[in-house]
Order: sequence, then C-alpha cells, then structure tokens
Amino acid sequence: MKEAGPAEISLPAESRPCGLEICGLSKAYAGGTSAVSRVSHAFAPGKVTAILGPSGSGKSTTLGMVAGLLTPDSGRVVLDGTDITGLPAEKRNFGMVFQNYALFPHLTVLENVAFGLRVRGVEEAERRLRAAEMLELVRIPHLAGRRPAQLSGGEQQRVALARALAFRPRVLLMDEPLSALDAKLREELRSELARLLRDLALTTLYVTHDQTEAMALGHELLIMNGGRIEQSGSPGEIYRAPRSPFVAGFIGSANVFASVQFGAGVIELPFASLSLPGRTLSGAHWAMLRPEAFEIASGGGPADFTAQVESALFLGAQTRLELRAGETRLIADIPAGTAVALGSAVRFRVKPDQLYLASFEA
Amino acid sequence: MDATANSIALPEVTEVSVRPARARRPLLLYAVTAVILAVILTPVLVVVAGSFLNTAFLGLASEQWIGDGSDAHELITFKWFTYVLATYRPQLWMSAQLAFASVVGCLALGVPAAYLLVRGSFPGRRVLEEMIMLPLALPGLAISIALIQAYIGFRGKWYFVLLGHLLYTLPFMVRIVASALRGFDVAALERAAESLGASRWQRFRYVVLPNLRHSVTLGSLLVFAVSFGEFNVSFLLCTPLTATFPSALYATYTFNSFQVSSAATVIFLAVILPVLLLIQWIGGDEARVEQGA
Repeated sequence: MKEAGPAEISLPAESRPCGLEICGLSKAYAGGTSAVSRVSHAFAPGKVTAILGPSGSGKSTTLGMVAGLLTPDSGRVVLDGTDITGLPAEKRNFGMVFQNYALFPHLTVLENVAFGLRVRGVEEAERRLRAAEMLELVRIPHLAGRRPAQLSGGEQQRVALARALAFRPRVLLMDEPLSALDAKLREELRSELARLLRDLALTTLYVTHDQTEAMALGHELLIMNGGRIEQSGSPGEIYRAPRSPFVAGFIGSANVFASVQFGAGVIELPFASLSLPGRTLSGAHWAMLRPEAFEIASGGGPADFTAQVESALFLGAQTRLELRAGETRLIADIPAGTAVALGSAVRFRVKPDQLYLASFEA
Repeated sequence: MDATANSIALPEVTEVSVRPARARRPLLLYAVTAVILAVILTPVLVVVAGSFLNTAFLGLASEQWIGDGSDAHELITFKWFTYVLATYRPQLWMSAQLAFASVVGCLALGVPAAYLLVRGSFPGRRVLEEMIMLPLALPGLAISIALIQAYIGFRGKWYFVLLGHLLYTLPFMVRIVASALRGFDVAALERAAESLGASRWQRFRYVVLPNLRHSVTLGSLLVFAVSFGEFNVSFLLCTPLTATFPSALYATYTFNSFQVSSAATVIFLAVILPVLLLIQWIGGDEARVEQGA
C-alpha cells in the first residue's frame, strides 16, 4: 500500500463504469396508493445522479427497487444490457449506504467494512487489508478497532460508505446519507463526498430531499414528484429551464406564475405587464422570475412595477427582499449595500431576457 | 395573610422538612431490608444447618437408622448427603438430562420461532404468539392433566415428561429472544447485510444470531433453571421410573426425616444458585451493552 493523499488511495479496480437503466418501474403500496408509476431513466455511467424530490415523491422506493430490496409491480432494471429485475439484492453487487447507516453493532469498524468480503469468502488477511484501505479512503484508519456505538454520526457515515465500497460494487446507491447529521457536519461531508464520488467514477444514485446537496453532488439531477420523474438534466439546465412550475419552485428560489395572459407584444403578469418584442405566443403558459431577475429602477429611469418592501434579509453578497405588488408577493435579490427602507414603495425593473416562459406539457 | 409572602415562604418550609427526612430514610430502608432478608434467609439457614448437623447429641434417636451411629458424638456430618445422593441419584440424573434436553429443544424451536414471530408477516402471527405463551398462564396441573388425557399411551416414557417441560419452558425462550429482536432494528441490519451480498443463511448466522447471543444465553440459563426446578408437570407426568429430582424432594419431605430433606434441598440449591447468579450477571452485562458503553 503506497502512502499518498487519502483521495488517491486505491479506487475500485473494476473501473469501467456500469450502465444502469430502469424501464417503466412501478410500485404500489398495500393501501393501493401508487408510490412509483412507470418511471424510466438511463443513468449516466460513472456519474452521480442525484434523485431529488419531496418526501413521498417515490425517490427512496425507486432506489429500493434498483437495489433489489423492493420488488417492482412492473417494469425492468437493466444493468449493462442484462435484465436484473428478478435478481435478489445479495447477488447484485450494488453497494448501498442507508440513511440510518445500519452498521452492525456487534462488529468492529474494520469487521463492518470487511463484511461484504467475508460473505464472498475472501481470505481473512486479504479482507483485513482491503478494509484497512477503505478506511484510509474515508480518512478514519484510526477507528478500525472501535464499535459503531462509540462513533459520532459523521464517523458512522464514513464507515457505512467504506463498507459499501469495500467489495468493489458495480453501482453505488446512497439513500439520504447525510440527512441524519447536523448542518455544519453535513456541509463538510458534502464537499468531501463530492470529491470522493468524482474520483471513484462509479455509477452512483444519490437520493436526497435537499436541493443544495443534489446540486453539489449530482452530475445529473432527477427531479421526482408524485411517483413520477418531473425532469432530468444537469443542475444548470434544470435551474435555467425548469419544465414545470413544481421544478421551478423546488430547485432554487423562484417567483412562479401559473397562468399568464398575452396581449399585443406584451405578457400580462399579475403585478405588471412586460413587453415581449418579436414573440407571438398562444396557448397555456406559465412564467418564472428568479430573484436575481429584478433590479431597482434608479432615478427617473423606466420602471416595470412599484412594490412595497416588506422585509429585507442580509445574505452576504446580496440582500433578499420580500415585496408586495398589489396582491402579488415576490422575492427579489439586490446587491448588498443598496439602501432600501422597509415599508417604502420602490420602483423595480425586470432585467431584459430574465423572464422564463414555458408552455404546459400535455 | 399576604398571598405573595405565603408563596415565597413555602419552598423554604418544604426544604427544611425534607432534609431530615432524607437523612432518616436510609436508616429506615436498611432496617426494613434487614428484616425482610432475615425472614427470607432464615428458612434457608435452617435447612443448610439441618443438612450438616448431626443431631444425635440433642438426644434425638430418629436418625440412628442412617449409618451405625458411630459418628453420633460429632457435630458436623455428611451422611445425609451421602444418603440422598445414593438414594435419589437416578432422579437427580433425570432432572439434569431433562434440563439439558429442554435447553436444546428451546434453542432448536424457540429461537427460530421468536425470529419468525417478529420478522414474519404470516396471518395468525399474534394468535400463535399467544398460544406459545399460554402454558405460562395455565396451572402446571392443568397442562399435565390435558397431556395425560390426550397422550395416555406415552405415560412412563421420558420424552413425555420432556414434552411437558418444553411446553412450560418454551415461552421463556421465545419471550426473551423476541423482545431482544424487537429491541434493535433487525430488519434494517438484515437489509444492509443483503445489500452487502449476504445470503439468507449468512444474514441469520452473521448478523441476527450474534446480536442475540446475550438473550439466547440468558434464555438457555432460565430454561435450565425452570426445567430443573419444575415440579407440577414433572410430578404428574412422571412415573417411578421417570421421576425428577423435585418430585424426589417432595418425597423426602413427605416420607423422610428433616435432615434428609434438608440435604436434598441443599443439593438442589447447589445446582440452581450458580445458574441464577449467572443469569443475574449476564442480565446486568446486557443492560450495559444496550446503553452503548
């Protein structure tokens, strides 16, 4: 074993990433409520796909079906062209990190990490060596002899990750691995995990309800809602071009207008009409304005609307304002240091090209 | 009187009255404990004394029928033990065998049964658990009479007595193991093991069983103690050829001298007390482990 920076230490030898695909997966629960309905996706090989959604959106159920821990009612799980839907979890070679870690309390940290090798019949000397390497990888070699009950939450999380990686899994599945940690630790581990997952280049499915975590870790996002995939794409794509009002509101902050009217060269929003030069639109559309789309109309310059400043929250580089324009509430970010008086009426402009317009699909 | 002044004064009053009470309570506690201990221990001490003393010097002639009376001038004697061990060896051996067989039976049946009751999802699971627990609530006499009436043909067979013992001891093993299984999220650990590639047997062998080792040990000791000391079922199910030590104990009290039955009791205690101490010790050990130390 060579001495090197922890991030460079031996990565799984089978480094060719696996192509994982799900086709029309469905699962209904006992009461007849549909947890997941006809979900299909081809996961990017060697990349981290963050599956993001509110609780009850079916993301953990989807992960469970990929893992083989839940049996789908219909649909297929396909790995490198082979249908593995009927393959039990124990034969899939998928590493999994659970929300509550599920470490074996009767085993030491080293024995926990070596467990996957032990049930595969790997010799004791070799599995100890391999487990020790994994502990190096997650930077806790000094904890090898401890029991899980003697570890902090963050340390347990590292053990769970090392355990899931030790037997060189073909796919790594993570089910809200950071959600049981406190905010500061979560942030630290998030960036470390992002580095580690990038270096591992494993096909990884990362389930979370935290959009910051999904954006930081996922090369690709899969937004789930009500048991369906609302949208998939890179974090930037989804932020810039959300396909539905739900996605717009879920990724980043947004002012979403579910129904808009079109006039001659203008679009009527509830609080203002904005000009749409050169565009003629018809049919049902919805509109979105990110908080950074607004600016204060300085001096006597042209303004799109006037709003009352109801609150101002200092965020460092910016100040987030809560505005009320007639019956409409808006959030707007302005550069920090701009003086606005609470309760005063301020004239605002919508920056050109910042209005996002999309038609309702189907 | 001023209400505010009253409410301020109250805590001081209670504090003053509490302090002496706190100081007095341990003394009272010790006194009560000592009395209770004396009440409990006196019969034991009397029995132990009776089993070792040669009471001939008191002028009692009743014991002269054991031995030749040549040791009559000595205070301490072991002849009562010699007599009991010689007379009731088969019954002592029978009880030891029954207790071991009960432990083996409970391990083979009770541990899997507890696992199925907790982890399974078959219909009638609750009813089955109640059925297993039922013998605890029924008098041993009732179980025995039911068994005799149902299986009269097996009367006199050693396994007939074992059947009664198993019915009576199984609830202890099932109860202890089931509550241990409910005490930790065994389903989550098994899922983790499954994702790591462990087969159903490997999950049971490497994850479930090691986490049950304390409760299984505890259950085994308890089953041994209960089976070894069981009287009701044994007394009714056994015949002279399959009699157990507790029924022999009963016989000594009914038909023999105080010294002989004392010696038999002391032998019984010598077997059962170490087991009880071990249960106490392991129970405490388990409590420490569960607290995450």
